[in-house]
Amino acid sequence: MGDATIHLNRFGIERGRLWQAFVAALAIALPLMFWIGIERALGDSVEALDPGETLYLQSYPMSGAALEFTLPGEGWTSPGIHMADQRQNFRHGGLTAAVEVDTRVESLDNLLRRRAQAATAENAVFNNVVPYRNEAAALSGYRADIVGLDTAGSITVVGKDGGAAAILILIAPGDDPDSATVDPGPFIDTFKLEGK
Amino acid sequence: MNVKTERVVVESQGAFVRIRRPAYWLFVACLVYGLLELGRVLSPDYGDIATALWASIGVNAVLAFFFLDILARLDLFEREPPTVRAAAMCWGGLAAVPFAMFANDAALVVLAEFGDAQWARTWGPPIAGPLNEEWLKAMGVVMLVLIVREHFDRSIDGLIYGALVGLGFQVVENLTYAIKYAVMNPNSDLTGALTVTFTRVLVAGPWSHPLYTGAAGLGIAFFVTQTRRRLSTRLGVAIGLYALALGMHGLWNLPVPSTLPPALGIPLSYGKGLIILGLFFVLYHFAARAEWHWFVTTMSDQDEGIITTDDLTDMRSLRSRRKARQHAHKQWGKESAHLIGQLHRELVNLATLVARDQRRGEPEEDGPDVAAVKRNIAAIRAELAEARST
Repeated sequence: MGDATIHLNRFGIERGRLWQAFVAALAIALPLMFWIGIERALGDSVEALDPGETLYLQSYPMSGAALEFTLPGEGWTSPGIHMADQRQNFRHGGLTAAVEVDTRVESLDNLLRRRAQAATAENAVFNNVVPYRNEAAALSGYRADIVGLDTAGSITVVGKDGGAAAILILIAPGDDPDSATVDPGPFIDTFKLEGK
Repeated sequence: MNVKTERVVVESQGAFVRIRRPAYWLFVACLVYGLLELGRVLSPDYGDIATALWASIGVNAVLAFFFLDILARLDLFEREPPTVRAAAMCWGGLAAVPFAMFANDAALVVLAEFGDAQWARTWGPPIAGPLNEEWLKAMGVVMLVLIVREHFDRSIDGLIYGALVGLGFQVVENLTYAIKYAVMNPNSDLTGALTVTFTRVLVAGPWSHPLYTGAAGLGIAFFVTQTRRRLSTRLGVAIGLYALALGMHGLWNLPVPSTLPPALGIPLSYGKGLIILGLFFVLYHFAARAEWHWFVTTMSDQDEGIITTDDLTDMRSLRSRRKARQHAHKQWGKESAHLIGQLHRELVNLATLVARDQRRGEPEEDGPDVAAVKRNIAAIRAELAEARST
């Protein structure tokens, strides 16, 4: 068997090879430095929504359901870039609202529990699941309270079993689930849910 | 009939661990970082979607097994060390995927800032996907060159290692999609995970990351192994094949025009896939031809008792090997065909060891591993002669 002699530096590492690892590390980091650098340079963009601005969502990955809605009052903002077709997040002071549309929903009750579990994954629970009906939008479904250590909110799912559904999650810090801030009514009043 | 063969493994042969080499520790650091990041992405949802995740792991394990078998067959004249093959897959899955996730997310935001979100959603995958992912996967092959340069003997080694990096990437990327779609599905984690897993495996599976990175890896290995050629030629081939990998990936990620009827989506996808597969096999054809020339040169000093001219001709390609087995089967029966296959494998093992000794300038006397393989070949030939005489 052949032998090869390697020369070590004072740290026990092969001499003359450190520069290779250094260049490789830079090359590995190159795409991250490039894109994240530009992203940071551009800064976080926030889009202020016009009062009464009509917003649209459509289900993904399967198309088939669409939701048209407006947010109540004024002063709402949204992240300048939202990549998801089916979901959008909004902010009004401390209140956050997430609206989503889904298609081919087998059970509204099951959907509410699936989304509530995700929404309450950190320091919150959901309870008090009750049937919900919004006369203005002619939509019905279920609503539950979200309770955390220093937050409260509601999650509401409306639509039809076996068809399209819209989900509204409202979270407000330092509030309680019965407060008007997290009442889904003013939001769902404007919901126009289409599709199946 | 099966001849019981012996294998002598000389210490440290095929080992990947090189604790004295700085690039090895960079490799380890990237894997640890990648594992932590993947854990961070997976852990919040793991409790809820464990069943869906494991179901997807099962499907992807079948995909990986299938590809590993194909790649082992494509590697006509060498068996790459298992530890280095595993390291290649680990880089693809555990380092390249998390790094690419960060880079792709940032790239989509940047593209959306310059265009709009809809434009970024449509054109981000064919632009940012290939740019980030091919670079990070190709870096896996570069890292292997820096750590275990001795396992890059010829260009095809880069193709095999590149394809393994791509396979690791594809499997873990499929799992990240499975998790995302499991959480997103309105009805069931299992439905969401399995729908996207089967779609990705069946529609994108045959012509995905292993092919792109195989092309890039071929170029990298050409650059580092063909040292007798001019630097400009080696650099041109390496850059050209990397550009081809980008092009193949970009072609696959191109969006289907919205004006086309949805029914054309699947045929169009398969059409793109077949173009990519065709390009890959053209590259493989050239690499395999060079492999055979290397094999003939390496084995030229061996006795007729070890390898004959007919053996050299039979071993040229997978097809010629199969034909040789079929011929033996027809002439002398199934056992003889099996022995021919075993003989070919032992000759490949011998070529690998002889090439190693030639590189090291070893003395004429056979080492214990070479002698063991020659004993195997003699035993197989004896059994073959007996099978043919009965």
